[in-house]
Amino acid sequence: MPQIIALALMVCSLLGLWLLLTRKTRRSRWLVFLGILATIAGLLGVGGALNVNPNNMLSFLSDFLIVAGLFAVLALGLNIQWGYTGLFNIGIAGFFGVGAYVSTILVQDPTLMSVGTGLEGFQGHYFNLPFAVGLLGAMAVSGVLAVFVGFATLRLRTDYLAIATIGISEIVRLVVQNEPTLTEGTRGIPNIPQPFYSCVVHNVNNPAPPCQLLGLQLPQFLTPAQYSWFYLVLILVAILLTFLALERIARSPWGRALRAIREDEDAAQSLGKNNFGFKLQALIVGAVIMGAAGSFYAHFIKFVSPEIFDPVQRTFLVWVMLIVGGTGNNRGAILGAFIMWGVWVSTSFLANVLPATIQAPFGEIDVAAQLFGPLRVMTIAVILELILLFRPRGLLGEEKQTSLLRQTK
Amino acid sequence: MPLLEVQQITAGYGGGDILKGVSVRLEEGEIVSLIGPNGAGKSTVMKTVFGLLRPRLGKVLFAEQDITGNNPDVIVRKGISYVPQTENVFPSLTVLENFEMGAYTRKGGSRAKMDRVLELFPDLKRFLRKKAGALSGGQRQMVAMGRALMLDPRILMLDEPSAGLAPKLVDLIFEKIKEVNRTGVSILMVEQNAKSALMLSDRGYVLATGQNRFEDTGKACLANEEIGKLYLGG
Amino acid sequence: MQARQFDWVKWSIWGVIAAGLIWGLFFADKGLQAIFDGVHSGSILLLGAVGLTLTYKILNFANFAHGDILIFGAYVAFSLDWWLTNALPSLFPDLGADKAALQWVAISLALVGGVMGAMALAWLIDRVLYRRMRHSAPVVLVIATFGMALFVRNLVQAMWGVGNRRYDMLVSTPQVYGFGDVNLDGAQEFFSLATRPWNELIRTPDFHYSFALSLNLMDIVTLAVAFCLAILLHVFLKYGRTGKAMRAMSDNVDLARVSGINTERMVAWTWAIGSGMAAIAGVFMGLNFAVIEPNTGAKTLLPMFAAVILGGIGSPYGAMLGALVIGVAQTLLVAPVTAISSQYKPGIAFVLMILMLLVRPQGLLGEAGRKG
Repeated sequence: MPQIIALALMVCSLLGLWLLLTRKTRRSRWLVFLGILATIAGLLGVGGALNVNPNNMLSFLSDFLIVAGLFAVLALGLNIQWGYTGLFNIGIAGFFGVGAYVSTILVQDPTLMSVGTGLEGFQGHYFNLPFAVGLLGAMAVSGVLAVFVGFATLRLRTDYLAIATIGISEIVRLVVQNEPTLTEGTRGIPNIPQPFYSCVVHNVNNPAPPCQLLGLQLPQFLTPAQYSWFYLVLILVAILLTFLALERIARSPWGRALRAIREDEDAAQSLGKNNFGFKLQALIVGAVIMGAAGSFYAHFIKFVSPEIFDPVQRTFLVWVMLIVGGTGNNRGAILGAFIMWGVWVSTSFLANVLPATIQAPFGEIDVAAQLFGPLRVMTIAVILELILLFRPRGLLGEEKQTSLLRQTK
Repeated sequence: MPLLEVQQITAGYGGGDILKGVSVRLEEGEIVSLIGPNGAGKSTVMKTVFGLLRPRLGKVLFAEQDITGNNPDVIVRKGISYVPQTENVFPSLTVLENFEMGAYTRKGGSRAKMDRVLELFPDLKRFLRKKAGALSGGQRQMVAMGRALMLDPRILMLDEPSAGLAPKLVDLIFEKIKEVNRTGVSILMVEQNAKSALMLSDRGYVLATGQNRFEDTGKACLANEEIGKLYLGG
Repeated sequence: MQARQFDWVKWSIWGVIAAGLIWGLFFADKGLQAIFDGVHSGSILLLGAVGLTLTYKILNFANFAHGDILIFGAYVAFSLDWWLTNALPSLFPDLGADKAALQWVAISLALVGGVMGAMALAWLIDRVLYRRMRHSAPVVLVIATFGMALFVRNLVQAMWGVGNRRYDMLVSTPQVYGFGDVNLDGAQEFFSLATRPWNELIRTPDFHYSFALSLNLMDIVTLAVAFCLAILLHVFLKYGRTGKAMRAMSDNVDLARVSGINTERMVAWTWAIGSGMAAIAGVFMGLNFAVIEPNTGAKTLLPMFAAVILGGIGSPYGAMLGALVIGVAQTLLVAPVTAISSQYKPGIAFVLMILMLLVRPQGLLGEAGRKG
């Protein structure tokens, strides 16, 4: 029975994608919206029907939405840098990871690290500050990193910028990996506290005192299992705020200047605009957003390690999301994030479809260990290439915005 | 039968049509100039003939053979050579190597042909091993023309050969063009320097805004007052 | 004719390089060995960097998949090597008897196979993907190569697994070659006299040098092969008909077409040379650094780009020079010579690259005034 549901949902999502690809947004809004829903639901459903225990369905869904939401924030940050301003930033993982680590270091309570994990001997310093401080700290440090990166690289041609940002991300990762007194190195930092946890969760096993706000006691109205839905609300708020801010920016003079730089740098320069300044600002704003995403991620997963700088998931996937959704389009960024995260998660259910071992000329291949991970990444890569070949504008295309150049022509 | 015939070409670069039904004819042994104001589409005619641009409408015939839209390397083999206006030499290659590139499609050696080309441009003999990018503007122009002549073309197309050259060099270049023509190569030329070009040419076409405006012999064009006012700067 | 101004920046950079070498040789602990190791790893890097610079200049985009094609070739060679060491003795019993000879024959043949495999893959990718994007913006192409990089890397992982692989070669023990000891007492006295006012600050170096190098047969073979290939490439580019056409194309693609050069054929040649040399680099990485794993190629991408930029994009000689400089810098500036952990080697390549981009974007062998 689950197989049939899975098949039906798969057909649904393919139909949805077809609708998305062939209908023009303006004329058939509802069909497109339906297409989006069908695609995402279908992708989720494929995975869920095949693999997830019905009891865990809800938490699977909330986890999916939260992480997809985080990626949406990342994609929005990239959109400011690349979609608006044309900055080829392949160092997303660097800003994201820095945000995660800074937030962790600021918020972590050293006494908690060993609880439940049985691990000892942590070397770092932690400050046990409230979540808000962690979040702001993450955004600030990420922004500062962007300043350094900007001064070193923004005067360079586009593809040099790409190489440089890869390098920067690498260096950040190397530092994190090799300085255990700062970051615990490859061990990672476990048991990261979660925002407002004790304020909203009533934990029967381990009750914590409720929080006070302006003299009023806040009710602890959630069970531990429901906390992720609270987190999801936080994430959705973050997405909404970021989206609104970005939309505002797009229509502002600053936004138009950024677009002018993307269209034709030399022309923008000749208009008397300070190219470098604008590019730096865009880089910083994008980095700040990515740092915030990192902070939210760390507190959701409750664990950070140098793996967080993984270029495949944190950088490549975000780029694919933005390109698939539509470069320069904020809705596209969010859409692309949800769709591609759906694709990524569904590929993990390939495990059910493939046989356990495959015979090859030089021996047996253990599918789970050897084929599985690579096939997932190869699928994403192929999707990227297909989009680049046949629909480089992405699913939603670029928004019609006026740039400074168009206005003065 | 004309050696080269451009019939009613309509072509553009994607934005809009630059040429709107242009026709040009080149008889064997002639020197024909295309003159006209900037943006008239003169260079576009050249590019269309040489296959760097595919026309929307119209045909290009070379010795009655349809070569519309053929690739440049095919057209070169058929006997038409092209000297672009700017960046017409390989700067990091020596003069000698530039000539070798001109004869690239010829399987055999290029020595014999090179000697004949050097007879036309004897000044270049001492620069053979010098990088083309290090030469002066006039010398580079000669290298560019020499490269184009390496394959014994029947037609040599020149895009503004005098551009950026001092007046003395302009005369020299036009002298060379005449010499080349005397060896039997037909010349199709685009020129800003309309007066000098027309003095040299057997016939001239005046193009403006992508269309033919006038066509007459070189001397007649020069004598024509209207052309003189509009396009020859008085 | 441009006025010849003295190119301060270029000569300062050369000066810094020279000073670094002198420091390494005479003032640093174990400097000579570090320099040799640097030249050694630089020569391997060189093979990869040359291919990268050629595709960058002639095809006009940065190929982020270069490192992964490199490792693909290395893995193809790996499979062939193991197969050959098993299959050859039954075909040529004499060979089976002599283990060392068998290994050398097998690896040589496997190398050829690896090169052909890499060339085939690179050509296939170009044919299927890049060819359709010839007229796209270079940025789009770079993104496409980024995707292909991950694709190839994971293809390798799918086909050969995640673990380390080793070529079937006996690791020969390093020999130590002593070049004798040099004691420059006179120089030491002179130095301490000359710097007497600043004796607190400047430590008089020892001026007792024992020049000794530890190296093994594979090091020599690697250096020799890299050197020969560099010369071959030089000869090909300078005197070969196709080589000249490739240089012409890298100057001006349109003019090359106008001269009748078949540019698609030149593109195929560029991929062939680039990926072929990359495969050789990959095999030597495996032979010299004991193991290869699917991420090895990606790890070398950054140093290769650094080498290309240091030397100047489009100049094969620049790539060779850049690779040697990066190789030496990476060994000279980390432990045991300095206090920086050897984990930071990629960071050194990166910092050098950024410095060069800020100071002289067209590289050491590029022309002044051009923006790279």
